[in-house]
Amino acid sequence: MVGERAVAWLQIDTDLILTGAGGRLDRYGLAELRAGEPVLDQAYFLEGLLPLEETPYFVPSVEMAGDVSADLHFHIDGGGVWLLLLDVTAERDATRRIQQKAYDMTLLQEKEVLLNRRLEAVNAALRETQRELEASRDLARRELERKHLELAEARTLQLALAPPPFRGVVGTRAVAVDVILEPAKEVGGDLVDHFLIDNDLLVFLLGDVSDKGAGAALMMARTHALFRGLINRPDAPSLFRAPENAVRLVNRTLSASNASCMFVTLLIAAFDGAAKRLTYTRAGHVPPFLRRFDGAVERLGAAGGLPLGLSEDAVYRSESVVLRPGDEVLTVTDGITEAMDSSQAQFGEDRVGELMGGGLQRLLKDVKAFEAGGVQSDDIAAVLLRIENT
Amino acid sequence: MTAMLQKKICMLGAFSVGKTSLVRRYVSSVFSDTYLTTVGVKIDKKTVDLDGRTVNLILWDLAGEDDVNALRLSYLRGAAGYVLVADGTRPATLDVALSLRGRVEADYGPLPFVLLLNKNDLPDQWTITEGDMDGLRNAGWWVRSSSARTGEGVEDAFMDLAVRTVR
Repeated sequence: MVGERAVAWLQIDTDLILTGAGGRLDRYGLAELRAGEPVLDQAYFLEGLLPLEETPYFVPSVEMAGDVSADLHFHIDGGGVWLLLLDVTAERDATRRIQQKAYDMTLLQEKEVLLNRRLEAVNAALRETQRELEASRDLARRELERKHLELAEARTLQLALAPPPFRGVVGTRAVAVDVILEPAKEVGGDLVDHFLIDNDLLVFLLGDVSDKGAGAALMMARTHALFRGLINRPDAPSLFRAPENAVRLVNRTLSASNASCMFVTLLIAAFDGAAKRLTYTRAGHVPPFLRRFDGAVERLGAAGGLPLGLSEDAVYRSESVVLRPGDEVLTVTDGITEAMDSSQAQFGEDRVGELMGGGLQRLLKDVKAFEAGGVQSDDIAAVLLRIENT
Repeated sequence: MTAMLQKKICMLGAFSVGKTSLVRRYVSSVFSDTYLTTVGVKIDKKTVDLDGRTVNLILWDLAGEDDVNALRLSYLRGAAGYVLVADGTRPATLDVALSLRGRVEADYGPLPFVLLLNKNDLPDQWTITEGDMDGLRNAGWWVRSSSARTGEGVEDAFMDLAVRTVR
């Protein structure tokens, strides 16, 4: 037992001088101790422990040189101190094995708790983000639904601006006027209108705003209102009998406050039932088609001036043609002439001329068939004036 | 030739906060990632020069405190000062350090000490705020963050403590 414990001993006097040593000093790296010299200079591990204040005094498991651990047992005897060193390396190693496992396990558990906490924080953040996204999505959906409703309402109002067909006598001529208006989106920038002045002057007009959508629709509505506003003027007959005058007035107003720089191509024509003449002003618009009673088709291509909205001082002029019973005048927007099929080929102006005589609904049907189910790329509008055979 | 002084300094703290690594860094300038638990006490010596005076710092690296094994306070007998160590990535170890300080002061009175918040080389896992540290400094504590891995803060802590133990 003594051998297993590798007992070593030191004897120290009251002046902390080493007076003797023996046993297995080598085991603890103390083989070089010198009696008669201060013990604290030779065994620094005793610093603070001496002089002893109580007896016996025990310091367990002190690691010495060579990875050996010793229990230190101090006893005061006759004024001096005896120190016994007992090897406890085996017990230390056994304790270390158990302690190491326990601490490693505890550290793993601590890490697991921390990881779980972080995962929970991440999950909570993700859930919150998901809630926010769902709220944003719901808000966006409600906003979209609201806008769709508003646009649907605007479309209804805009389509209501297109007048119903006219069948009646203008001056001494029986006249028919038909219109079609199909915006490409919920609302569009094509304008169609016709009205009677003094029972012998039928005015019709077709306009095409340079943009699409809500902005173009507002420009269209404004232009429509400006022309309609001229009807009740005392000089309305002279304004519309020479339609360049009406165009000049409307253009000045549109050009004066046009921050968005939109413009309107326009065809305005006035049929004087007494004079049997159609007077028209073409402001940058596609030339209308005139189909004579014998089937001959010609274009009314006289230039009339700039599109409306570009220049306050634009000058306009008009041209006239005589219309006889059986004659038709068709004016369309480029949503018809530039309609495209799947190969990107355009419907074309020639095809429009060929279809004259078949009515507007047939023209519209043919344009739709030409597009063959593709998305309508532009607003479609047309006005057809026919001098009836009486 | 001036007389050599010896001062006993104890390393206190919870388990696995880096007490042994700090001693090895300070005494031998080495670091190992392998965690080997301390049983009982390991004693090392570091000789320093304090304004021309040679001082032996006898460093007692004590086994860490845990829920089962409380620190044996008798190890602190004759200590001139101590180093409290906490792991900056494990906030519970700061509570252990604060508790140990209270128990040491109750048994041995107000000894010079420093508080090291160790492992500052792990910023992503760090949990102690500057506010926490300022709070302790405002209470008169010498508090620093340190890293036994990089050596940051280690030399300064031991030297500051050594100076205060020889005053």
